[in-house]
Amino acid sequence: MAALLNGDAAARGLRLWTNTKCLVTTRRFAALPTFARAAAESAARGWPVHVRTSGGTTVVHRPGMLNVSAFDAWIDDSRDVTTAFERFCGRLVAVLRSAGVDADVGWVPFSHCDGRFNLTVAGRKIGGTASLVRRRRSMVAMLAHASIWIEGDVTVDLEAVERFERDIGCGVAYNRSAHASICDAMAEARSVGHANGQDARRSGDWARVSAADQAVRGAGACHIAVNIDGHCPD
Amino acid sequence: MTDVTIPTGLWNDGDEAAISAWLYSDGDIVAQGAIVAEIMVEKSSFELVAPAAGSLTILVPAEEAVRPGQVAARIG
Repeated sequence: MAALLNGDAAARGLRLWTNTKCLVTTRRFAALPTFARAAAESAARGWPVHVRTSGGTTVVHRPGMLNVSAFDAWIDDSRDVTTAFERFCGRLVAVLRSAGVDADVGWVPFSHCDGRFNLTVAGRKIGGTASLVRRRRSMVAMLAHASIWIEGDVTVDLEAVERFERDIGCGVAYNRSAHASICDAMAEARSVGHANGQDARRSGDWARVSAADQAVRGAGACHIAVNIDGHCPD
Repeated sequence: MTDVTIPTGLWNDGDEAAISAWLYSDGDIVAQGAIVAEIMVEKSSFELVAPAAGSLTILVPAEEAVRPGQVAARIG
């Protein structure tokens, strides 16, 4: 972000990454007097807690989740932050749709870290988005971020988040069925598609999805390959 | 005393903004350019930067709504 604000164009870009198993929370929660003990107890349960600078509440990172981080900067007043973030989310939706995932953006009641720009499939949250905006002198820099459930047990993730947030005194019970991994969502869509005599799979230029026909849930047999050309959303 | 003002022009006027966390306590000495607070607008985080060095006096507590141009703290 500092390089972006200093006008370093090379700092603009898109990063796709995964993380080891952990919770990632916000500076707001980290400022609470209950944080240190709750974080230590979470770490003892196998969920170390890290603090991020973007907005929202606590989320999970782990293998099986894809993180997408876009770094961009522009001259102040030349672009609207909300529009830039909407464009970032719109491009994620386009990539997912081209990969055969019928994604959308919107609120998901009773989901964790809820927001207007959740990534959704059939009304269930498959990913969350957030951003960090910094302004220095005449420049604005934005980190736009998304964490997307590709595969794995969403229920276990939510339990870890709920336990930590309860321990810091901000506990909320989330609705498990408001969430899904992409593999779960695709398996359900395929079930519906087969019931209707349809093939739910599609292919696109940006991404390709191959999914085994046998049961996906629990077998880890969902493979998603996404090729992005490296352009920064702008 | 130097005002620490909620930035203008970074989010839409109708969006609800709040100070989600002060990163220093009332009375702390801060350096010019230090990030003293975080402002949350939905799930976008904006940073409030100290315009001068000195002792921070917080005027708006965490979790309270703010509007662009509002004085949230003073440094002196």
